[in-house]
Amino acid sequence: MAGEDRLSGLPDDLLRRVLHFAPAKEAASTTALSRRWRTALWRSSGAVNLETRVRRLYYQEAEARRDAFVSAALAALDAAADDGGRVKRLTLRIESDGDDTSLDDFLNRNRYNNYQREVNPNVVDVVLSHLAARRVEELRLVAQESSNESFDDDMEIFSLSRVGAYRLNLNLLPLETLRVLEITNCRGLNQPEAAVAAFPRLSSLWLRHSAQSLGSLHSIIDAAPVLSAVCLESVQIDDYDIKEEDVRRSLAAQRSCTPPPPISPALPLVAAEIHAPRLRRFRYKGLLRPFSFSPQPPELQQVDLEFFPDTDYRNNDPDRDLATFWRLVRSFTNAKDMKLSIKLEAIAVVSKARQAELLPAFSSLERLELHVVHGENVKKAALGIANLLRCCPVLRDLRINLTTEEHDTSKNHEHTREFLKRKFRSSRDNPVDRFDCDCNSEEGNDEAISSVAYDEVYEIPALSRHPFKCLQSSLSRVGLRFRFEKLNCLGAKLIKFFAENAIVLEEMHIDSGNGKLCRHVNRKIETCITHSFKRRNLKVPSFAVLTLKR
Amino acid sequence: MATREAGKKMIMLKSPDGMEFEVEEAVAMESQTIRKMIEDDCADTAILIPNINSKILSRVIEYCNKHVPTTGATGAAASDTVAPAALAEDLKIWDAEFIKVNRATRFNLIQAASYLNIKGLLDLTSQTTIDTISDNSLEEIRSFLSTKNDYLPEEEQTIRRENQWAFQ
Repeated sequence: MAGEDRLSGLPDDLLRRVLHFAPAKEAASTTALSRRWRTALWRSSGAVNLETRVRRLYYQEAEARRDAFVSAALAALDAAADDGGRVKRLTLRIESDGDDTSLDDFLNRNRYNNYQREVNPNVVDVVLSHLAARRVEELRLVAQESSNESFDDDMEIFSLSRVGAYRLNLNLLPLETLRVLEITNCRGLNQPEAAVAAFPRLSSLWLRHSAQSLGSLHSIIDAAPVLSAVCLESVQIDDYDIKEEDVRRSLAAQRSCTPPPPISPALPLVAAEIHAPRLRRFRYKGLLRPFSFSPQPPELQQVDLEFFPDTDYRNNDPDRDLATFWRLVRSFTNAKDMKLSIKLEAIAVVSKARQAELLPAFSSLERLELHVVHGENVKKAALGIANLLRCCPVLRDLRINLTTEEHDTSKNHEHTREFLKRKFRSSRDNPVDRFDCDCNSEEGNDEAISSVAYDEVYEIPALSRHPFKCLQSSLSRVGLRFRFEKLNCLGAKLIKFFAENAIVLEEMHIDSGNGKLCRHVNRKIETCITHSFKRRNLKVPSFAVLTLKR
Repeated sequence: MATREAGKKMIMLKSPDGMEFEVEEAVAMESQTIRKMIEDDCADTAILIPNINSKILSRVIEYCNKHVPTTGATGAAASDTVAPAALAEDLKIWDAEFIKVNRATRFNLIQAASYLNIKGLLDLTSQTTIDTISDNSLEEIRSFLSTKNDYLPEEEQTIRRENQWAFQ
């Protein structure tokens, strides 16, 4: 095989595999390449990818383009289903060079006729209604503007645009066969009244940059007994339908017209208890919402939670949020690996009684990654960490990424929905990258700090007064990333704390946000650690100090 | 660090040009082919990987190293057919860099991924190949594939008529 640089050199079954990824039109046009390709390799690939780009056009031209796309899409499905072929993977990807409006024009026929409901089905519905789409195993729907950044400077325009370009009716999905469902930019999965959908084979559910009502999300997951991976990324979860349901129940038979969603200040703590017995991976990026999994999924492996700050003042109830947060994470007590992005103060439980009530035990959790923001109140922030440590008796690997509030970009959200703009980006991954080294000037004064200075790194009462089981017996790796500002910043305190108290620590990885340029900070930290060894009466360092890999 | 790695089981992979690669068992088991060999106990000393030269094999190992689940310990999650719901973003960026290779290398990687049965790598290489030929005319694709048009003109007309929608 060496030196072979021709795709044609690949055997047929591999070519077929490669064609999995080809857009339907290109794939079908390969039949005209040569006799070998005549055998309709693409047709037997089992995949149909329908892709197009749209841009802003005059109405009639847009109409014509859409008609052309739809008829080509249906022809592709016809062809793929020919001779008993079966479409297993179906992708519909519509990207717009412009804005949401052109997507909307393209997808939803009769935009000017919105008041007549369901006169013409939208493009998604037409494609999904095709017979060949009825037995699909993997379904991906993407409709998005390709220039994600275009709204960044213009809050005004963004706040006017809606989340999601299309609605999707559950009864159009290939319920019986569906294994993987990936949906981007959807305005909501709707369950038709009366009908109870079931997804007997659904194992993976991805929703991205979409809106979804909590009630129907609840019923979808409940109806998927083998669901093992759920990813809700930048999903705006509304819980009006849950409250609506309550209203409906109380009104019993009266069902004339549904009232508009009431904006009630009294959101429940846990509105939906979702049943997902086979869940292994769960990812959620969005606002804190009142749902949890019950009973706790026993096979859970990985959890990734990122909470955006809710700037809607009507939702401002820290105490309720605190309880909602801990109720939610209580669902994941069987997880082995957890990633958590949140403001530390928001999760700190102060009173003993509340701690006993709220804090769960993550009895299998071995790896915890925290991307946390904290404000002025360092004590409370540390308490948040202490709460988490207390929950993790067998923790082995802990990584903490600290950002102070003043350097946190996300707090400037002027609009609650602002986070949706960030769609697929995430600011949390490299908070310290933005900071250039600004401490070269102090190079002269980087003599090792004295033990007096060491003692000036105050201990953190919340942390140092309590024994933590994981520190005694399991925690072998700690990674800290923070911006070294002053000796008493939370990052430095944590270094001191772990150096003194983590008995079985083997490695401590530190990135103080200063790169290699700022040697004096590193030296300060090293000295700090050396002192801690002394304090523990150790002659030889018991663990290695390494630079955290970026 | 060294102490920790000592606890992990290592596997020796050999390429036909005589190079040897020592990799963690978990990394090697990203390949379903090798996983099967290990599970069937056919892998006591070293595994010879036929048809894949050392240059390609080292790239494949690089890929597996990056994609081995970090959960470690139990390793039970590895063979999941489910798309990983978490921690995928960083990997995507890494993948995009990884696959910036010339065409010959990429086709070799396709074959290697197929033989070793590494789904993620096969998907990545296939997708990239398709991306490079999309939006090209049929003639361009022919030259890209070094395929000769062996149709008679009327045959080609028939085919184009049969799949008219694809040629518009």
